[in-house]
Order: sequence, then C-alpha cells, then structure tokens
Amino acid sequence: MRCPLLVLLTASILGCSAIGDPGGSADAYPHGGTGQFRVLSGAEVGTANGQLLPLRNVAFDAVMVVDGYLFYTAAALLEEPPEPPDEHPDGEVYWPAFEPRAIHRAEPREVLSYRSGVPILEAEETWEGSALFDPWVVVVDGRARLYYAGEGGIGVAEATSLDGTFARVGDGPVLENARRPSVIRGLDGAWWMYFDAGGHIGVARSEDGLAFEPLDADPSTEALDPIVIEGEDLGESPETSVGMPGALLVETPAGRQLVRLYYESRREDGSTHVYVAGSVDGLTFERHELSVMDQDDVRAPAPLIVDPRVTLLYVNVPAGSTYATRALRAAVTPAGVRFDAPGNDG
Amino acid sequence: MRALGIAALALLSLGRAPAFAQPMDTYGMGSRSVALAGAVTADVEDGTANYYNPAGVVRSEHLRIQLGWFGAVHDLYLNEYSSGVDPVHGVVLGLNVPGNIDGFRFAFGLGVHLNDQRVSRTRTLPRTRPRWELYDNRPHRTYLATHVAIEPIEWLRIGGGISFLSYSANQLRIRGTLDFLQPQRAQLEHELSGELITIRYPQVGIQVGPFEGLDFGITYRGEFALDNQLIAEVGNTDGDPLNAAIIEAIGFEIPAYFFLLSQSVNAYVPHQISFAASWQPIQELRVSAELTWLMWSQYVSPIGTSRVILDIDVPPELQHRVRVPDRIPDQHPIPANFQDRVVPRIGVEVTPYRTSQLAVQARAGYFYENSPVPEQQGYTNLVDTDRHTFSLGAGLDLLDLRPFLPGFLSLDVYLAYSWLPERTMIKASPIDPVGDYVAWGHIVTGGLSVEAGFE
Repeated sequence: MRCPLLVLLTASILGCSAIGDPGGSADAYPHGGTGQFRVLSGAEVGTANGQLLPLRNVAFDAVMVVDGYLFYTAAALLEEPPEPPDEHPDGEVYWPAFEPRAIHRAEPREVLSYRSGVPILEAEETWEGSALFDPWVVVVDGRARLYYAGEGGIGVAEATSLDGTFARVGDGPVLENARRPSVIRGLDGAWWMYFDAGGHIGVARSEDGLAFEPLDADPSTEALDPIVIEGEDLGESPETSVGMPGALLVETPAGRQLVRLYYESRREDGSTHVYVAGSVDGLTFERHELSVMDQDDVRAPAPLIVDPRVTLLYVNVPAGSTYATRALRAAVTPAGVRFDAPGNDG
Repeated sequence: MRALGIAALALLSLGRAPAFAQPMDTYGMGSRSVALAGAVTADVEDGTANYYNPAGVVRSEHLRIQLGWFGAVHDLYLNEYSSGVDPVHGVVLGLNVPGNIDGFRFAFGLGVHLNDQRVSRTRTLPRTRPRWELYDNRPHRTYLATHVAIEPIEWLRIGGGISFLSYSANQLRIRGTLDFLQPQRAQLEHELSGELITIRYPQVGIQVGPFEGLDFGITYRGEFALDNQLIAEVGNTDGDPLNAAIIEAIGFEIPAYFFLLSQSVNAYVPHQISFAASWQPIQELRVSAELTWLMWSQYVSPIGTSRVILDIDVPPELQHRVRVPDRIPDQHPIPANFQDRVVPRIGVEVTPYRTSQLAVQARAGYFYENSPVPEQQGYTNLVDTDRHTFSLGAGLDLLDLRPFLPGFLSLDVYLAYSWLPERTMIKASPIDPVGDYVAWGHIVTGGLSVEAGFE
C-alpha cells in the first residue's frame, strides 16, 4: 500500500455516506380554513353515532362553543305534543311540540362531546315572546356576554364567568327584527355583529358591544343594505336566501385581519348548505364557490378555530324523528386532520 | 350505489422520473469552491472545474482526483410549522486528466455528484400545496458531467462538455378482476417495465489570465426541463370485453372507463452565465468575485396539466341514485412568472503558512440570491425567499509526499450557513384555501474532501 493516508481518507469519506432515507414530511401546511370540511366520526368525538350532544325527547337548534362550553337552544317535548300538520316543511323542527325554548349551557364530556346541558336563560321579557334562541357568547375581561335572540330581536345578558348566572343587560333588544347574532371584536377595534335579517345577512357596529348601529354595506343605495356576498356560486340549485351567520375574526400569519363568515345558503330545490365567505372590510365578502360540506341539509354553522390552521364547524343536521328534530355534529378542515378521543387508539 | 362488486380492471401508468440533474446550483460542489462561495469561475483548477468552469480542467498540469462528501440540512418553515424538507448528502467526485502533445495542452474531466439517499426523486403535488420550489425536490438528483479543455495559448483556456441527465419511463399494467367486497379473491396480473433515457445539456467556459495574478472567467450552462407525466387508465374503449371495466352493483353490471393524465415540468434548471474575476495581489492572498445570471424567467410552471375522463354508463334504474358528472374540467398550467436572478459572489483565500512541504489555507465567502419567485397571491404556492449564504473553510496541502505519492495531497473542509429571511405571502382572496403565510428558514451545509494530484 503506497499511500495509506489517501486510502484512509477515501474510506472515511465514503463511510460518511448513508444508504436510504424514507424522506421527511411537513409538520403542517398553512390552511385558510375555507376548504371542504369533513364530518367527525363517532370514534373521533367519543360517541357511537357521532353526535356531540345527547338529546332524548328534546328539540335543539343553533349552538356556539367558547372555551369548552357549549351554548345552545333547546326545548323539551311536551307530554302531549301536537302532531305536525301535513304542510309542515321537511327538516324544520316542529317547535309547537316543544317548550319552553331556552338558552342552555353544556359542559364537555369528552374532548369533543358534551353532557346534556341546563337552561341558563328563559324568555321573560315582553319583547322576547315565548322563546329564546341563537346564543352567541363573547368573553370580555373574564366576563361572559351572551347575545341571544327572542321573538322581538336580539338581546344581551352577562355573567361573571362562562359558568356563572346570566342576567339581562338593559330593558329591550339591542337590535330589532334580527336573529342569530354572531359577534366579533377587533375589526377597527369595535364590536361587529352579523345577524340573520330574514333572507339576508345584516351587520351592525358598536363601540361598547351594547349599543349597536346597523351598517349600510352599499351606501350607493338609499336602503340599508345587508352585507354584499360576491363571487361565483357553483351550487347545483340557485340560491334563494342566506342567513344564520357564524363569524370569525382571523388574524393571518401575515398580520392582517380578515372576517370569515360561515352561513346558510338556502336553495331553490329546498336544500340548505353551508358556505363560507371572507372579507377584508367586514362589509363586502367573497364567497367560496362550493359549499363546505356535501350534505343537503346542514344548518346554523358555528365555527371555532382550534389552531391557526385547523377550524372546527359545529352544525345541526337532521335527526329524523316525527318532529324533525336536529342533531349536533362537528366537522373539521383541513379534512385530513383527525381527532382521537381519549382511550381510542385509532 | 351501495356496493361495488367485481370489476374487470386494466391499469396503465406511465411515470417519467428524472434520474440526473444538478444539486450544485443550490449547494455548490467541492469543499474549497463552496468555502469561497462558488466565486471560483475565474481560476478553478481542481475537480470542481467540471461544474464551475470546464476551462479549468486544463489549468493544472497534474492529474487530479478529488473525492468528497457533502451534506445539507434544511430548517425551513411556513408560519411556525416545519416544512419537513429532507436533508441532502452524498459523494462528490472530480477527475481531471491532462495531456500534452508537442506542447499543446489539453485535458479531460469528469464530475459526479451522487446522492446517497436516493438517486432521484419526483413529486407530483396537489396544485395548491405549498412547496419550497428550490429546495424540496430539486436537490435530490445525481449529476454527471464530462468535459474536454484546451489551452491554445498560455493565457487562454477553453473548455466545454456535456452534462448527462436521464429520466426514467416506467410502465405498469394491471389486468384482471378485483372484488371490492372480497379483495382476497382478486385475480390480477402485473407487468412492470422501465428504462432510463439519456438527455444532455451543454456547458462551456473560458478562463483568461492576461497578467500575473489576475484571471477572468466566463461559464455558460444550458437549460433543461424534464417532463413528468402520469397516465392511469381503468378499462378500455377498444370494444374488447376483456379490456372493459365492469362495476357490479346490486345486480347490475355497469361498463365504466376512467382516464387520468397528469403532466408537469420537473427539475427545471435555467440558462446560466457566470462572469468572474480573481486577483492574487500577493502570494498569500487571493480575492475572487463573480456574477451569475440565471434566466429563471424562462421557467415553465411546475403547476401542470391534468385531465380526467370518467365515463360510467349508469342504467336508467340507478340514475336517480348515481350521479356521474357530465364532464370534469381540465386543469391547465399556471404560469410561474419567475424573474431572472443575478447572484453576486465573493471569496477570499489566505495562505498564512507555506513551505515547500506544507501549505495552510483559510477561506471565507458570501453570496446573495434574490428569489426569482414572484409573490404568490393566487392559486399557486411556490415558496421561496431570498438567501444569504456565509461560508468558511480551511485547507491543508501536503506538497511533498514522496515516496508515497508523486505529487501533492489536499485536504479541505467547509461549513456554510444560509439565512432565508422572512417572506410574507399575502393572498388576493380572503378565502384562499391556503391563506396568508410567512416563509423563512436556515440551511446549513458542510463537507470535506481530499484531492490527490499526480505529476
């Protein structure tokens, strides 16, 4: 061997090489929260049927989730309920068979499912009529502020904490002729409330979250216009109305704020889908061209950001009973995200 | 349709994967050259001349054999999430063989970069999937180049050659029956054939040394782009029942045909021209600088074409339950709109200790690459940022090793750090499926090499 040093160095270099590498994968890709949602399975939410809330002889409606608590509308079946008339629309809860319709609060049972809740606010005021519904809760400095709908509009109640006792604020509604309040804070520092205005979605603004002033999304007309939803709609049946908004204020990694709005899109063929739209100014929205879920009868979307790239959407779907009750399901985007309930190895 | 039954199935897929391309555009080649930030085009003479400037192959009168190892670790992020970009490491080989006929000097050169994880990798990603366009897949290639160089006059060297690339064409045919309800009853025949097809691109260079201690160089490297194509076909339209796909469902036999074509450009390398100068004012100091112009504006988009045909002849009895879309829209390439890139490089080499038997060198370098990738405001997410790279290296030349080696032995090491500063991508649409993101990261590369020069 004439040059042992050279041989040794050569062997060392070749020895640095490793054979084969399965390749890495990204921890996560960015996601805008606007794509298709996948309905969570029973295994993921820890229940046999995938429903998040056990309801027996109870009719249920819109929800929202904040800091683990589920706020929802519900009413118990009467002992002698009336039968729905023949002309009662398919999929619509026959509320005359249930009362009193009130705001309920439920605590988590598993990570994604809930124990049956208790009423926290029932109709008392004249303007509220006989039912309260469509809760939306915002936590402010540790206090919980509950926006809810009654028959005369939208009211406000407060509690010292999310699990506290709610008391009404003010004597009347903060907004009349509206339901399904969805309130966000942060856009221009004010409180913005999106609401169902009967076939379209309105928006109102407030400095203190109590005194709301409706905004005109299109000042070029004399009327008080609802939000503008633009963009291509690839739905098979034409859209006839929109409503039941669920709003999120999102701060993107780039540092800008966007309003993301999930809402019901009712179609000429009788179906109801959930769509999503986004906005920079909170007034003019661009819609996603397709519904975010494939099902034909999905209602009252309530979004929840799990982390900057994962969004949960709570929706109600048909439960299939004589009175067309509904059930609570959750869906997730990106659709590839999977939740595992405790004790579930899958 | 509640269940799929037995289906006669024929599948043909054709995948073309590049087997040779060059990671050196990203990481450089050889320990000395990378330590000088690649600013060596004017005076390179070791085995890495086979990448930096083929004219340098004839610069040295020694037969030179260089063997090295290099590794790169990527620490790249989108927002706070690691992008999981794989490391790259492998062996580098350079060989310069000089000749002389009646005073006319010439040389042959060979350069190889061989990744030790994989010879080549091809990826076809969903169209909107964010991808580090210059680091995720491109470095996973093998490089092979051969050159010839001449020195017609003492101060002029000219070299040129060919870099060899190859892509593989693979054909997979599956034919038989597949019971979706009882897959254990499947009877399938598989045929696989593959071949490597060679393609080539040119590389030429000139070195000029008009004055003692002053050199200039220019190098041109050609463009190449590899086509990545996937065809999948289930069933056949030739009328032969044996080739038809049949879906059995609740008592019906439904003829079906499925066709998928996905085509995209892979492993693109742009035209490149480097202009360089090297100045050695004193024996102990060498300073080099160069500019490389990369014509990224010629880049064809990696977001390719896809075409899907789904033809299912649903019986009237099932048409109320089974909806087959009339047409699935084709997807067309989205222009990349890259911009040309001019990369400045500077390298400094000092020789603080030198005797007739030993020389010690220290090296440092810096280069800056502006990103050729435009703002990703729309559908595509080709991720890239600017890149600042700082490098350090050291060399030890053993100049008198007789009787063990009739020549010299050079040992070189280097370490380079690349900083990829934050780049924010803001989407035009507030409902963009990917949304805004911030890209940033670091790359650390290192290597060592040994080169023997024989008289």
